[in-house]
Amino acid sequence: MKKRILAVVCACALTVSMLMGCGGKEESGGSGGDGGDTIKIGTLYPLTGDVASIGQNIMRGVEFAVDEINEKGGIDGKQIEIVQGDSAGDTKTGMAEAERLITQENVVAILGAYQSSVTEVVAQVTERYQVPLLTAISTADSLTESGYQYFFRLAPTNSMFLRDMIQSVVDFSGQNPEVKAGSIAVCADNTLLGQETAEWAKYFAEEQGIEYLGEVLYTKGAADLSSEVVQLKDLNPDVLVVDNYISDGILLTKTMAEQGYKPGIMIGKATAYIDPSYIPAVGNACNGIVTAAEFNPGTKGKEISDAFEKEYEVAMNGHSAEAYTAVWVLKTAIEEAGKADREAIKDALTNVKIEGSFPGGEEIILPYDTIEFSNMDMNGQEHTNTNGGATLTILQIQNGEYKTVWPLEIADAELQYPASYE
Amino acid sequence: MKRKFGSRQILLLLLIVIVALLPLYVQSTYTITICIMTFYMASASLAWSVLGGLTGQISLGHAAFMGLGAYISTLLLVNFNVSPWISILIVFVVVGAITALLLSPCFGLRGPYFTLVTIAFGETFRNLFTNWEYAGKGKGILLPYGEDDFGLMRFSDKQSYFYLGLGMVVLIYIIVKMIDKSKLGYGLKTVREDEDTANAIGINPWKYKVIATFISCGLMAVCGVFYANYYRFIDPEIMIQTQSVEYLMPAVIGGIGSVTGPLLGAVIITPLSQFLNATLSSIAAGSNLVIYAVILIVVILFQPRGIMGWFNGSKLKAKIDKVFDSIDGKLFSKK
Repeated sequence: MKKRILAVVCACALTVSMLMGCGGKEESGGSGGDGGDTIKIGTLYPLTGDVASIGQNIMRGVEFAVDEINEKGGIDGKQIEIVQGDSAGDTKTGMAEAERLITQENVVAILGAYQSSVTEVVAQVTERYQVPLLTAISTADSLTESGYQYFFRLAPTNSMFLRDMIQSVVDFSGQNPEVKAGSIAVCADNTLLGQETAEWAKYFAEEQGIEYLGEVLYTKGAADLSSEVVQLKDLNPDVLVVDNYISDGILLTKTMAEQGYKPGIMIGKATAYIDPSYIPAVGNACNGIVTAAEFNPGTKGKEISDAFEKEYEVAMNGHSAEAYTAVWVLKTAIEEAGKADREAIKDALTNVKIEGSFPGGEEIILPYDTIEFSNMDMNGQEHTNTNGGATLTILQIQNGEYKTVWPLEIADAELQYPASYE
Repeated sequence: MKRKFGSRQILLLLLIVIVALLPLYVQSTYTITICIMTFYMASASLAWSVLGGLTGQISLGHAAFMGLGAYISTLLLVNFNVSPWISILIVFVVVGAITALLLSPCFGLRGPYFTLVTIAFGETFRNLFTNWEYAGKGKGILLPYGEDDFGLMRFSDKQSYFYLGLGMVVLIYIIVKMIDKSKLGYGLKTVREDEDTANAIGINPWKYKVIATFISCGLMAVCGVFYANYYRFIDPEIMIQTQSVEYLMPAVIGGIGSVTGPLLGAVIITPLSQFLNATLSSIAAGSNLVIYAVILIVVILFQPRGIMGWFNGSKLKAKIDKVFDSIDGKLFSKK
């Protein structure tokens, strides 16, 4: 019997050693797709799942920029090849996809991700593999607080959003004494972003000497917001700061109209209030609502946004404009690096400084004129590789159309006050 | 006749050895990543199956119990520098006890009513952690970054997590298998098949459900420790109810009620869904989900008892059993 067991063990060992012989072909070199005819760039956005529509909108911006660059001859004669990853809005999948892009597809850099929780995990992966990760969209402040060397953020952070929103309100009341800005309250969903919005609103309100009355938080995807609106009515702030996902934003606006609650200024943190489906869904009830925006089609980059709209039949918004710009930033960095090498691109991104227009002459379509990634101290927190110069514009919906009302120098309309909601 | 240690066990050991040697001949880290994900899903599904499969109490709150384990171990690590290895024991006992205590008044509820209660508990925990300052609120907790440290379960290479995950899945599989074959297991299955009869023959359904909850949720919390230390970032979203469905899926495909079912289910659907995602979503986003859904529908429609449910009653199994028995006979017969 012992002999037979021995035979079995031997057979096992043989099988295993045979299996070991046939592996080990896949892994590729460390520094990425230099030497091929194309430069491979990975994207990691949610293309499926509950935020898929946002991810697909982002991808339009990416594609549009890549097509433009490739038509103009690519990067040093090499075409850009986009390798799409799908995070499905899930951290586990996001991590696996990042590893696939890096080790299987051998991309030189990754653009992504959307949700801050996914970005947080992916940033750790790219840090370990030493691959540059450039996010155009993720706004959570905490992302750049970990000291990552390979993670770059183009988007303004949440604190920058609130800084500009509160500043605009102060400017409005400075310009027109009728505009009351003595107190502030927040209505947001109870998630990372909503909580940060309330936190920063409080921080900047106190900095500006505005009374902070408190926040009303609800569960994302709410079925009813009546009691929340009643609470807001009770607080009765001069300025109502709102941060909602699209379905909640629509519901909130409608509930406020039903209950006849009309705060003098209602200012949104982009998201719902610049979504293409917002105005059609609520009709006249949105007139007078103010919102921050990462991009304002009226002022800069009109040709680009028109061409974009013609191609996709959707207007360019903050997400697609930022995704578009991120590709151009990466292109500039790769050119400056002189080769499609991960380490060189990371160094180039650290040093890149784009003022007014990209080296080829294309203008920056976002509201600000300088893009650079620097380490900076923001409200007492150390941030690495953040685009500190990013600013926002403030729009107001007037007669169903977005009008720029802030910064005051580039405003194409005056603030309608108090907001009419009709 | 089945033996305690026969050809089946040898085959299983061989399988484990082959899987354990995988990192040596597959150098692709992506493949290793998928393996780790599979180990994790299999472990979670096995843990779920103690309550959902063996006892027949379908829970949709297990993501929250996993999250509870992840949070407890992470908070212990961050604030008190307690090694995750020690946390494994702590969370097993603590989460097991908490859930058994919380759910014990609900065991009178049957079928979908019990399921609804577990959803409610899951969402309660998620909301608790979303609003709890100490646990980082909605921002979650990032595990400390730094040098590799075995004691802190922190590795920069995938292989270490691979073996950690493999160890976890083997351990949980053995535990669940042992329960299945024990007196406890028969008690649980009796409760599943007919609670009233169980009561009549002296098996107290309430007591058995408490034990099953303790073990199931405790093991789930252990998976949470692995999750936290592997992904190194946790937030309240890991507790969301749709995640619970993901843990239940391998069991449904593989076969609820069989121990091998959840394991087999995870081995099939985790790589499959990742493969479909990687290959198809760049061509037409979402088409991977269509194919995935079709596979699920086909299985549920034609094989509601899952793969193992079909296999256990099939002629194939009888044939395979015969082969194994004859090998056993030859190998171990005493001349």
